[in-house]
Amino acid sequence: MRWVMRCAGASLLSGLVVVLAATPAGAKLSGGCTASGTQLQTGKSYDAVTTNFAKIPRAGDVKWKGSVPVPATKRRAIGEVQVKFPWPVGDVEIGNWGKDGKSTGSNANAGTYHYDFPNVIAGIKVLVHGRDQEPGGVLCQGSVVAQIEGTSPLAWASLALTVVMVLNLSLTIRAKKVTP
Amino acid sequence: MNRRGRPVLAAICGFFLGLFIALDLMFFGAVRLDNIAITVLPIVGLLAGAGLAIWAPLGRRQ
Repeated sequence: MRWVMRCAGASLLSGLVVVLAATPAGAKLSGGCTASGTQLQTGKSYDAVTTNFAKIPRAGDVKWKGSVPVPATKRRAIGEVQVKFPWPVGDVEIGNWGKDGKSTGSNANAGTYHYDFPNVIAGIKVLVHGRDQEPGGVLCQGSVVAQIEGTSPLAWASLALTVVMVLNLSLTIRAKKVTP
Repeated sequence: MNRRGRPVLAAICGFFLGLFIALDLMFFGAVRLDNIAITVLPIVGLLAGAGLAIWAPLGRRQ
């Protein structure tokens, strides 16, 4: 009977981990805006309208371009880009435009951007999402799950500490005599 | 005479076990950074650790 209870408990815990680990698919770019980029080292192109997952090298250059479906007139467009962290942290803003009151007169932009991420965040899947609100009512929203190639050195330290904690827990849950 | 483990120590160990399992899942790309499991697993570990120590399934035959 005890073994049945143990197996049921282990199954329940495993099921909980699987259910919690399942996440919905990432949304794509909507609202008529366009955005695309080519990772120059790998030659791989990403279209934000169709892409919801991108695995990129840790460092490199990306040739990008983007546009909004409005005329190129002077206006105050507001937008932001955020990274989603687990509850209770939530969304953390990594960039914004128009919030300082500045106006823009263009409806498209392009360039080449060099990036160099630290090795410790390699392998982590991050949801990056953003939006652009135009005064005429156009609202573009998009998101992508990004992952940096490789494995963080912290991953191996965490794995080793997991093994240590299993051993510690197995020692602390051992029965000892308790006098009433 | 009752027999049980060390609930407080086990709760602390369970918390850190849950935390490191969550970090393993995150670092190896099994779950996304925004997954609620990263917050929940340490709490589940804490409660499971304390519960297992009170139940004390190991070392009863002495």
